[in-house]
Amino acid sequence: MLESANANASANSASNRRLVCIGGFLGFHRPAIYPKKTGRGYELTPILKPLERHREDLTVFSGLDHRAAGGHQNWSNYLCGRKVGRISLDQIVAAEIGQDTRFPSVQLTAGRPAQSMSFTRQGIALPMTQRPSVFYSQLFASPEDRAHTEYLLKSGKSALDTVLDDAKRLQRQVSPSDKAKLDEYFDSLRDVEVRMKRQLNGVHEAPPTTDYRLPDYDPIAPNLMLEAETLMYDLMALALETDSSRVMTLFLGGLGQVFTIDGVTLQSGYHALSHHGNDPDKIRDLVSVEAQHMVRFARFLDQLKTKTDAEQRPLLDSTIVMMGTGMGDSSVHDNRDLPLVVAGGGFKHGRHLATDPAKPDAPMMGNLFVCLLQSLGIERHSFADAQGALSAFG
Amino acid sequence: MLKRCLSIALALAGMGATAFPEPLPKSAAALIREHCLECHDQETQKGGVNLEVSHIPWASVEERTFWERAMAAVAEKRMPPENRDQPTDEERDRFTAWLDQQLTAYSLRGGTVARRLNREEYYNSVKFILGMHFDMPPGFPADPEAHGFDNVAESLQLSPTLMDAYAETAFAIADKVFPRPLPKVEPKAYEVAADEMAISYSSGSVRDGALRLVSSSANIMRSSTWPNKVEIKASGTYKVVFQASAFRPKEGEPPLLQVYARDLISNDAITVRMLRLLGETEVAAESPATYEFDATLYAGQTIVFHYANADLNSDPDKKDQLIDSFRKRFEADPRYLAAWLQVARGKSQTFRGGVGWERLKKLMADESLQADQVAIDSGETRALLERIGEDPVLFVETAAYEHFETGPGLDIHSAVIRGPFQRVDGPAEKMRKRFQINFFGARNQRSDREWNQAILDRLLNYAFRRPVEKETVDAFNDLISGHRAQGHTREQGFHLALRTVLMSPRFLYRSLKPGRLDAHDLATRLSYFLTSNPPDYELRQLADSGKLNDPAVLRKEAERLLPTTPDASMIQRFTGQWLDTRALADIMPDPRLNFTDADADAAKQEVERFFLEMLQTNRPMTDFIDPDFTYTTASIAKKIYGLEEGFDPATNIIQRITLSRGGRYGGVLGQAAVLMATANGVDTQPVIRGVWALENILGDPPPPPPEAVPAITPDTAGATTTRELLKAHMADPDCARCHRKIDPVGFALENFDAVGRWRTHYPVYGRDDQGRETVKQGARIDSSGQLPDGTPIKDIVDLKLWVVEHIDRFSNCLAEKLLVYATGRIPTYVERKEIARIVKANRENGNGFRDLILALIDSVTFRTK
Repeated sequence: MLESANANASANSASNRRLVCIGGFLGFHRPAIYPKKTGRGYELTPILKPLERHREDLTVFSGLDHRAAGGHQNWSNYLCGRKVGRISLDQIVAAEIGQDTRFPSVQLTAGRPAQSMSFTRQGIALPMTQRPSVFYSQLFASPEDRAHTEYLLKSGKSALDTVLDDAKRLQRQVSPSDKAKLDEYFDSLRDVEVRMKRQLNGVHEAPPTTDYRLPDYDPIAPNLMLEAETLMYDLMALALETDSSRVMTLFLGGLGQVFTIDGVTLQSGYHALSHHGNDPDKIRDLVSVEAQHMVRFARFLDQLKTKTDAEQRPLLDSTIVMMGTGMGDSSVHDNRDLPLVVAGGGFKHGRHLATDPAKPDAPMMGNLFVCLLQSLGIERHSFADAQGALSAFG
Repeated sequence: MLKRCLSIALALAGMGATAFPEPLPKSAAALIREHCLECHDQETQKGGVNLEVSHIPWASVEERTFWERAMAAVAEKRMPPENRDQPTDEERDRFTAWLDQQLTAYSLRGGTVARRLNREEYYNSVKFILGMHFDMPPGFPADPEAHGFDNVAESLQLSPTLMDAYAETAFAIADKVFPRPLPKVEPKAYEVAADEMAISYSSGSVRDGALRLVSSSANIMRSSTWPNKVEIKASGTYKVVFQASAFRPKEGEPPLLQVYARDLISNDAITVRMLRLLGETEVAAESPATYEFDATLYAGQTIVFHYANADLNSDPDKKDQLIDSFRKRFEADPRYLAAWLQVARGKSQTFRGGVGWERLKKLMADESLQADQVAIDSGETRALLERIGEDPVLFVETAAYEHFETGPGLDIHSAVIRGPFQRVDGPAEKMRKRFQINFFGARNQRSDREWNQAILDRLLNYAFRRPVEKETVDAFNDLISGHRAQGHTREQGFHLALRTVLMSPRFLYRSLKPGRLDAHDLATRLSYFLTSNPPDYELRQLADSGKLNDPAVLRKEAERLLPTTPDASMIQRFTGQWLDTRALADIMPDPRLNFTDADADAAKQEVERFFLEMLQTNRPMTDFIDPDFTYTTASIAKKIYGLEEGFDPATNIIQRITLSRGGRYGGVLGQAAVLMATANGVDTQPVIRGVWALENILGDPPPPPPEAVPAITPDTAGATTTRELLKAHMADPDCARCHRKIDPVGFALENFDAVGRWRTHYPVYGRDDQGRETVKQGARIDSSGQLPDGTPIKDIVDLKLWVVEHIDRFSNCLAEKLLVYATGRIPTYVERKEIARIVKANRENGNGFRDLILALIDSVTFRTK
């Protein structure tokens, strides 16, 4: 049983430096992911089985949610809390610790981005990159791309000079109140100039290089979603290793595509499987797809254990990796009781922490988010409607 | 006293004001002394109001606002309070006449500060210059709102974040129209195996080493397949070669294979009818044969294989054919029918897709299946056939798996796409070339500089929405020649110039010249007001020639630009903000209110269509309140408006329906969207609705509520009604001053629940002993009240009648909102007097809404910056 604690919110100093949030559109079949036993001795369920070798490095949560209403569109409450469109967890973190890297935050998707996952402070849903090749070329810019960026920034300076001169001419012709209003323009323009100068300096620093090569096509076709998932995980590991970004999200889509798993083509599309209506055959196929997500997730954790940060410590030690969903039961579009696995980040792992969301004072997923934020050195004591950190986790 | 005046005088001197404070005339000073100072002297300053002054510095906006409030309080007899000595009506009139004269004399006209384009106007303006769509960067900030609108100048600040977004957009746009040269692409062969083609739902299946298609449904996700890993890199001519065969074809009816082109990245939920047909062929042979043809494919595309004449089809217009084929199968095979009847008794998920077909086969093989009991004309069979017609997609998903085994089917064994042999322009390149031809124009033996100047003249003219001084054109020309001197191409020079234009204050701000608008600024204001777009060519010509200043020409242009469709930007943006229907997307109605997203969308459209008809047919202003029509769906008509007839129940598209006047529904006080937007999705709060109506319908917004007063939440159990809770308002004279205006209006709307459904009692939700949700009637709703002028009202119908009788109040309110939206500022005192004159004159001339807007456009207020 978990409790939320207001007073003794763990005042972790910033032990963590990175956050990766993965969200499965169609969720995970709860009876096949939730262990029956709680605590350390929990049994491995069919969906958790692929994570066996990482069980000491992760925690399984059951019963957490944001007290949100049902429906596909409310999937996005996963990282936003009860109201879709509030600033999402990753964006809170990006504003605090993402700014020093080339990409303050990265939004990726495997499969069609059916829902939004990250929202800015102003409630704008951030689009996700669906092509591995696009993210790859951003990470490992080719000499031609870098030359073009340099050209844009250098010539941008003369563009700014020209408008500045013209704006000064204009300012002489306007009323005093407009003159004051135009000062906003001048201030903003100077700011852009400073930023471009900084970027120009950055261009001269050599970008990271890699031996990693993508296939010569982008796996954007729905059937290739699992393949796309693998590639996106690989690229995320590379981005973290090269410290190109510290905050990333990955959306796992799910439409009508029919998967072939271990050479066997399933009898229904993924989406149709998720509306299983408790049919055992459909649930079997659905669980096999969901276990495939975990196979790839486990490989990602392998990479984060092998790859190291600047101090030669495994990346996973200071990276929080969340695998969750905004959908509790996709068969009925219920957004309560959201399965969640948190790995890495130096927490006391190895357990299944269960909560009963039906209890009126049950902790919410936001209480866990507060823990995560605090471990990233972000002094927050609430998230959406949740007050305080989850005391059982730390 | 002296001290206060002195400090004001000093303050004014500091601001460079020239007008000195004027002394109060004797009669006004006497009225204040006798009737006001007991509470509002220097010492007491009740409510923060100090009237113990000898001079008034009229040049100060704050002072003018303050005295206008004082004037209203006296005119409406809110002051002095009832229990005090009252001045005579004559004294009142003299006092308010004096204030009116002073306010009129001192209040200014115009004064919109530099108004930058808001997000939508920015997008439209860039699109106008380019003549093509472009993507706004995702980080592009949203606009803040002020006075209810997101285009009010004072709040439209320019921040570094926004400037960054402008810079980013400018880079992206310049890259789009003057791109880097395309890399050379060597011809190659894309080889596709049978298991490298898309399968979704039951669209296909790999059988005997081939991808088998069995359905001709239009939706490609339900019938067709395409190579998963092919995405053409360069637009060009290609050779498409594939091996196909017919699988158990119908006698004399070989499969017809159609090959289409589609963008691999595009949404899969598209129909073949939206795609470009590359070729078609009959596939007669039952062993693999090779087919080939030439095709033009564009960058980003792949090919789609479609079995065009398959019998199996889940399209709605083919449902009779589908039912018929099931019936025939049922007749021919009672075991098949028996198995279907059995699975159909369960949930649809259990017989959907391949899982369903496996189950059917198992049942048919099972000896205990009672096949002799079933009959083709039984009620259950008929119901099943009916269900097949209602949900063909579901049944075809299962039937497809039977067809995969028994045919007829079309097998694709492999495919190869070779090329490009010749490069061609794709749609994007074609559009770009068109743009460049228009953009550069012909050189006509001019020098580079002359040619550039001609191009820049045109570009800057349209981007800056007015003729541009030579100095500015020269600066841009220097920029381009300087760039070329550094070794860059001519295209790169214009790439740079375009980026610069899009960052210029002359583009980002509209109308910077103070005073009366000149023809160009007038064109700009008119155009953004009515279309959210910069002036079009026709309007621009009239501005260039100066003819637009002629009221008759201005009126004609306004008539031309008035919206004609409900999705016009002006309709969407104005109604969305005036009546808050923009908020609907964020409200999650309590599921117990049975109001779907589709209903919310239809409710919003009702407002827009209603507004459009009011405008287009010049309906009298009173129809805003008590109309004889509305637009709605059958769902809302039944569920919310409680109508039983007068609409077509068979369709759920929006329809125009006739209402009888004097009813509860219809008009801006009775539309579901408005009632929903003024509630929170769960319950209603009369104070919030009352304040909303005062502000947006009656144009009499109360001052902000005192701090630290908690919102009143109705007790849903009904023990204490909101009305009882709100009685406190009337007991305290300080509260009563505003709440006697707010509460009666709010309570009149209380019969509408949070989605606008009529109710006579508050609901009480509970659970029965089996845990099921129940709803009971709670306290009765009391919607009666007394309006501030003493008129008693029973309910919303009475309130509407009252507003109709006092229609100018509403018309003034709406006219002011329109002008705030159009001018980007709050009208001043003297401007509001002009609006009132226009409203009155309009009422005497038929009171048409279209006439009112046209008159407002010709007002001094509209024509002043």
